[in-house]
Amino acid sequence: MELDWSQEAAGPVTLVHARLQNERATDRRVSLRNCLDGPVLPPRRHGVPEAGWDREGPTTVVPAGERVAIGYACPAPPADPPVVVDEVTAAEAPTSDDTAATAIRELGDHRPPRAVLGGGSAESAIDAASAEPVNERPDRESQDSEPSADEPSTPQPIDEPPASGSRYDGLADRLDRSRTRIRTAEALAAAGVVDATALLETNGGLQSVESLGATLDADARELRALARTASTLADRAAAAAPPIEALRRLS
Amino acid sequence: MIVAVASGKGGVGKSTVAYNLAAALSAVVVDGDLGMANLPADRGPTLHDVLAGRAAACEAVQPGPVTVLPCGRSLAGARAADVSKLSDALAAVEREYGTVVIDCPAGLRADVGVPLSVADAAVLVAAPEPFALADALRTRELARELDAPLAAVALNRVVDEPPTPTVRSTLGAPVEAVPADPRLGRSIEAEAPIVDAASESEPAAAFASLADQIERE
Repeated sequence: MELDWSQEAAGPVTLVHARLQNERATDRRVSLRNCLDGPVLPPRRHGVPEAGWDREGPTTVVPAGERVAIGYACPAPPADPPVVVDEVTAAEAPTSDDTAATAIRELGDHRPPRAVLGGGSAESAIDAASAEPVNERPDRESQDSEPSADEPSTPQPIDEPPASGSRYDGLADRLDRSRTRIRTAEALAAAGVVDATALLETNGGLQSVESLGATLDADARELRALARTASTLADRAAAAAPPIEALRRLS
Repeated sequence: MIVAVASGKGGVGKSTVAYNLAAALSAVVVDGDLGMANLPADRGPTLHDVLAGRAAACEAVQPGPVTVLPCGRSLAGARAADVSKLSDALAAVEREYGTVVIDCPAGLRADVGVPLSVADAAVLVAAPEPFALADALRTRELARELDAPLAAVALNRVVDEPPTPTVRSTLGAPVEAVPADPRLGRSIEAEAPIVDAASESEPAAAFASLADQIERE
């Protein structure tokens, strides 16, 4: 069994690429062992690792005379070699696949969505935010503001409805959602082991908190973009003055 | 022995069949409908607690006219339930009580797939109508995929002559027609399974025959 590997550092994780070539005339089952100083992060569906994957590494069948490419991520710095062939066996009988795990992988999630649990809890906030397209608002804001700065001559209807309460409500809601997420993250960081466990449970487990991390990054980007747009608008608001005198002479 | 009672459609009387079948088999009936529980529950831990790791499966079993492992009724509980723990929970109850009947939810999601994957026999419940048959067919395919042998089909709430030969040839399993009977409809709420409440009745005979069918598996 020929193993050819490469690796690539991507922030805190290392991406390991492995290419296997079976030169024999029979199908063979290969177990790869991760040599990096961390667990393999297996691909998952509905929280269940793909068949043949565990924390040590993947196991796959390489058909006779064929090549198979496989890759994984590991939260550890690169090392040499990152992966080795652990075991090669004949692949005549399929491994006893756990059908319960298969059922969970293949079928839809049974759980009701977090949003239906009601209450302004952090949980519903996480879901509500992931349901809405990230960055939508700042993009729209910047599209609204910037072109008009370049083309002031374009006639714009002035009598557009005044900024209604609901518009500010939307913005306040948006900020509230970020605020709740930030509070949750801060509470998790400050909590002791016991509190953290309880918090983890109420926040939907480790997976949800992992996605909370990603959402917080998006929050930071979004809020900075919002701040930039807001300060540009504030500058323009201060500088702009309607030519009231001239307009009075016209009427 | 673990018997999964499933149906593609909801509302065909799956829980009623599971409850009465468990009575006929002297089995424990597990309410596997994590989102919408149907079977009677007293105070105490439920399947939600078992699947969230807060209680052992046998602690949640409640005695009654039919021994029940009830399911919680909160959405938060359904969300916290880890369905991958269900196979171990069912195995634990089977070790203690011998025969377990699990009332699966409607649909084809993981909470149906896991019971089917660990079941030694599956019973499909269908209404004697063409549209219900199509759904039962889909569930039969899922049971086949997950290696759950189809032991019998219960045609529930039969009023006229049931289309038994058609169902038999479509689903490829023995068909038991369960006549419509108000006592059956009330059996869960009244906690009075038909084999006890009206042991001489036609529906009671149907459940006894269904139980025979399964024991022969």
